[in-house]
Amino acid sequence: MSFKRARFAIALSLAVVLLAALAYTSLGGNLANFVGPGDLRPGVALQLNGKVVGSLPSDAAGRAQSPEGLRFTVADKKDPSAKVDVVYRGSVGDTFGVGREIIVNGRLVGNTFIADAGSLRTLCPSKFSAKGKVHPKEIPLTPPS
Amino acid sequence: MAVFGRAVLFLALIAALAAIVLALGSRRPGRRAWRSSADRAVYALAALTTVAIGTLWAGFFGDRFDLRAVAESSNRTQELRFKVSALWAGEAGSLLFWVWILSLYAALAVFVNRGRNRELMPVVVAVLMGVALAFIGILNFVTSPFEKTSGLAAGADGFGLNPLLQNPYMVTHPVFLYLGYVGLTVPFAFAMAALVTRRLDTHWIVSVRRWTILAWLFLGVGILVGSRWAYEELGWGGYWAWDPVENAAFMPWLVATAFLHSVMVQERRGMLKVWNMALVTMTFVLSLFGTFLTRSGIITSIHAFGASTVGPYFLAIIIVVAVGATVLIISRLPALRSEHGLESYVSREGIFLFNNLLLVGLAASVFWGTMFPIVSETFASRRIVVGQGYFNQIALPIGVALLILTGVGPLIPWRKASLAQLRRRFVVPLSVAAVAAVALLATPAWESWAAGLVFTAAAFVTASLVGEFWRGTRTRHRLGGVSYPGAAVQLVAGNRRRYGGYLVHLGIVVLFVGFAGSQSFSTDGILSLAPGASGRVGKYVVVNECTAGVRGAPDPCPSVRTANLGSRTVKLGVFDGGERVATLTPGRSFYFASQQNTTEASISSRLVCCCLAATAAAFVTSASLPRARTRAPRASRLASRRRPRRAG
Repeated sequence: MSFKRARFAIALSLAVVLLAALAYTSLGGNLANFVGPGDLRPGVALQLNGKVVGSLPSDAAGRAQSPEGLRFTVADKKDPSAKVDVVYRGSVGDTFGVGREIIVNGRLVGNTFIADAGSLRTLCPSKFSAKGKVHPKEIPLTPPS
Repeated sequence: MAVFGRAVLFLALIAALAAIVLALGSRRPGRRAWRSSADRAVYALAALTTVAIGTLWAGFFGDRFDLRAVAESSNRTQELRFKVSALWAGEAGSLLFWVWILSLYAALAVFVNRGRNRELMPVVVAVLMGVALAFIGILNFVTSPFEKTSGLAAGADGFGLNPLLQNPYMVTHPVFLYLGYVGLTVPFAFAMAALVTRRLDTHWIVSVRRWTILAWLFLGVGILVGSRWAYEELGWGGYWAWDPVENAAFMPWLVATAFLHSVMVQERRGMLKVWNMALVTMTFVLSLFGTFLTRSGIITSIHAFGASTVGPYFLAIIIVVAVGATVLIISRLPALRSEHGLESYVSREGIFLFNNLLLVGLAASVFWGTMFPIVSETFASRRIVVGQGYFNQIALPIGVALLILTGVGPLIPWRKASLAQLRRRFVVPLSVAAVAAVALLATPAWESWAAGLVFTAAAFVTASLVGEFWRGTRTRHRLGGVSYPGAAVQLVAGNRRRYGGYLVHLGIVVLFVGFAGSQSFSTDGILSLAPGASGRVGKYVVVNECTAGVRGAPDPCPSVRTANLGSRTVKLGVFDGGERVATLTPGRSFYFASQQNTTEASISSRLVCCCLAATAAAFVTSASLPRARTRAPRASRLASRRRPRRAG
């Protein structure tokens, strides 16, 4: 191997190592366990995924902006009996509602999941529907008057 | 309609298969006539897919809810433009749209090259048709856009398009994205053809450059339009949230950007041949990977396209493409040797090499962060997700380095730069950057060191690029005796590739200034304003200018009711020191079919001068909506999300 090639190989390796080091150090503090309500553990950063169940106040978006925050219940997608209460403050997407799948970051404190402010994301209500679904429910031909 | 559509798709399958057989067959001696037949099969495929997509659109326009695709994404009251876009809202429809674009691209490639690239074209056609065949196979045997619904009640209406997608940006965003994704197939096909035919000179590179630029442009515009939509939509994390689906579009764009730079090194110096092959393959594989990511549901994304059956098929296509291309590249390694070595790192090709490492490094880091949940689940048996902080920490240093390189590259000559050359070319841009850094001390720019750094780098790059335009214009003015404007026009027209590239670099500067400003100088405020009331967010006063309830006065905040939706807007005046700087009209809509509310944000972007930009958005968080009948709002809760901000 010529000197120039060796120099190039060393420079390239150094660049790759630097990049890997940057990627590795950037991971620290930015990781969270992706869990359902049945797998929550106290004291660690978590990303909670599940379905909103129960009832919501009619002014859910406004409640989420209040100091006490919005309280709602999330159930596990596979095991609906596993549930947790969530307290959240911040903006709430238009698609948020009972039956919708959400992702929210936070920590378990006691029996309540205290969500990070502004971290609530409601998954888009399935643009692509699963196969086997029957025809959509009948929607009135004219809007309610 | 369903039977006709299925029949057309089956004929399309045969046409694609025939094109492959005829194209590959034409490579044998004495079968040159087969090439014309292969070309005709490509045109036939374009015609058949056009008929298929026209049939499906006719289904949408004719409210044929006996078709599942129509029933799930449309209804009778939907606006015409959203009936158009509803076609690509569903899985099968979007795949048909993909195939249609690919068939049009293939027909265009065949037409443009009808008298050229005689050796390459048969393989190009075979690769393009191979990809088309895979997609048409899925449409024929896995998920059909012409599938019929069952148990249809007479007179039933469709679900209607998701209200979030009933937005003008969502009419164009997928189209641009698909034009970008699918367009990347053409450069890949040419690369594979060059490998198969062993025509590994710069010929294929020259042939694909415009195709790559076109696909890269469409992909970039698609990403920007999608960002704008996400910025308007409440709860989608602003214009960029490092969501897996966003990353899926960003990664091929990054690698395509690297490819567009490295091809110049191969053209000029005959270097980086293997690298270019790897880049064009990576770009195409990543575009397929993006589709796989959105269809398979292996990673939880806010986009949540739902359970789908096509994921494994996409994975199979990706594996076949990646393995096939890698084997082909390895088998041609001796013929892909560079004609020259890198003489100096301080050279144009050296800068392109750094730029490529950074772009591909960023793409690899984004890939790692996106796939980390899968990796952790595989090896640690628990799903660990990577937060936005990881992506931001990675993107900031690499982004700033890339920004600086966009200004450094044009200043450094090919092969080698002398110290005198460097001194002469860098003195002005560096001086401008130094002055800008000091001048920014008088502004809040350095309150965020990252923003200050980006603004200073932006000043350097702008000075570098403007200097390039100025030097060229001055030389033409002196030599040609033409006026300065005339010389500037001649300069750009005479070397569109070079100076067009510099214009793109200036666009990148604007993007970075916007990123830095929006990330570092954002002020949020929540106001609850009755009609006529005002509040303050930062230095701006926001006034609710609705006068509903005042007799005789026209209502500036009217309610609108159509067959599809009811909506109410609120007029907000935004004032700075008594001067009106923006009028915002946020609102709420209620879609009758889906019984869903949506928030309509209002954004005002202002360009105060060449280096000041302002953006503001506000939305009604709860206002009375015309569900049963329209009522004037007694009070509106308003939240100002972003105020006009200064940037650099």
